[in-house]
Amino acid sequence: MRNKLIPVVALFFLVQSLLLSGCRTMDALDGLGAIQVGGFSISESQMASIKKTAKAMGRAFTDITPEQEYYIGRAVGAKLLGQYHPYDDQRINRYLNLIGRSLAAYSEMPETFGGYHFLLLDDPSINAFAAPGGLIFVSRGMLRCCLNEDEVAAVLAHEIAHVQLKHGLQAIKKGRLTNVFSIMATEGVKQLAAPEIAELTNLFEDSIHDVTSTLVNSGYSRAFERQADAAALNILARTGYDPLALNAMLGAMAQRLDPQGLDFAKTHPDPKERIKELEPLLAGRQAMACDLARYKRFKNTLGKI
Amino acid sequence: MKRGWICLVLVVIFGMSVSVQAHPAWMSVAVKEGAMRLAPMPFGKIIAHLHYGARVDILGEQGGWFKVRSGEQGSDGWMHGASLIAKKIKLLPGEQLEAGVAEDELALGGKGFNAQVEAEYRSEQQDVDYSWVDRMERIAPAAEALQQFMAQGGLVSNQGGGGHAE
Repeated sequence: MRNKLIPVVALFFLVQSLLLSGCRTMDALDGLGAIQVGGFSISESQMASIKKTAKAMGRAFTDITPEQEYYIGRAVGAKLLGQYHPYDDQRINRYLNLIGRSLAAYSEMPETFGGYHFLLLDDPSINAFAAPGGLIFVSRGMLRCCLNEDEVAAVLAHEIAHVQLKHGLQAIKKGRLTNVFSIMATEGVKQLAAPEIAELTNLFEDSIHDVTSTLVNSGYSRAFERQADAAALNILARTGYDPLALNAMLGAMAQRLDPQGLDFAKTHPDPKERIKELEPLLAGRQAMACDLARYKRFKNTLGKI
Repeated sequence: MKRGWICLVLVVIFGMSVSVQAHPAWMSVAVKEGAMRLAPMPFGKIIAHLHYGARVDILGEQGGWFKVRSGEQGSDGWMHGASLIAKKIKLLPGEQLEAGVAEDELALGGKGFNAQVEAEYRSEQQDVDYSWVDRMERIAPAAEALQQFMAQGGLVSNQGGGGHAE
């Protein structure tokens, strides 16, 4: 028993340290054959398998750079805007950007490659989308569920949380990323030829499809939505908005949502369920007094949305 | 058997100690325009904008913010961790990457999904219209306007220096 356990422990340690110390260790490992770990020899084939595991686990959405995230986000945004029309009102869009940027500054990810930008969609459905990198879209139908600025902030904070938690990038199938990284390895040592650029472009197109169809059709997992709601409460509180506004807004959404709808009814958990899951996080919290200046500017800008 | 378990415990402890790392000695700016601030807080006064790929020395860390020194700017300041990455960014036009350069550095040389891939994608997808995405990216209220907006609406106070307290 003892003899069996020790090599397992050594392997465990090696894989763990590879994963912890990241890609640089991978490079250091390249070229190594059999090695000694704590006095236990590991064969070449075992070594290869460890490298493979570490590589497979280490190559994920977290390796997508802010710049790549930016280009993915732009394409997802362009795709969404082919389906939903923007509402071209400078005053409203500026107001959304002022609220959204205030919130983003207090998020865990206050800066992205291209920054946060918010746009109103001229659509009666109850919808909001966050493209990777910080392009955030919200429908008129969604804003109609909001009774004050804090509730608008709650919607935007939830979307910022999806960006911060990189949920959009995680919709991209892992196999595609593996292929992207292997093309990049080629790109490092020579100029890409036309077939490689074509392949990269195909991978780009497929990745955009993965993200967009998740946003519009299938929705994120319940766990992702729960994480985004929890993160939104933090963002709201740190910015000075009332976190209870998320609850209030979800209540209004529950009233308005058509269960057969192709909007949040399809892509998000039932708002009543989300309210229930927020309960322990909001326990004991008192509603903040209504801020008159905030209420006035909300009425002036979105009163007739 | 007992020795095996002791061995396992030691390995786990040692493994954990590997993950506790001090901050890196230097990092690169990973956003288009990285704000260097006087204090480690949102809306702290901006003392410089550092361009994508600029290298900064890391002097310390505090709650997600890094105290940095920029040789280029000749000054110290604070930058949020979201705008930095602990990898080298190779960006200079025409610069050749040496063979054997670490794979994770390549992505940051503008490799992978980049402007060229976007251009290729757009030429293939004639129906995908980027004009509103470009317009959207231009909606960017200035820091002063944001702070005024927050102060008027009684938002924040203790952290960012905005709000009614001002």
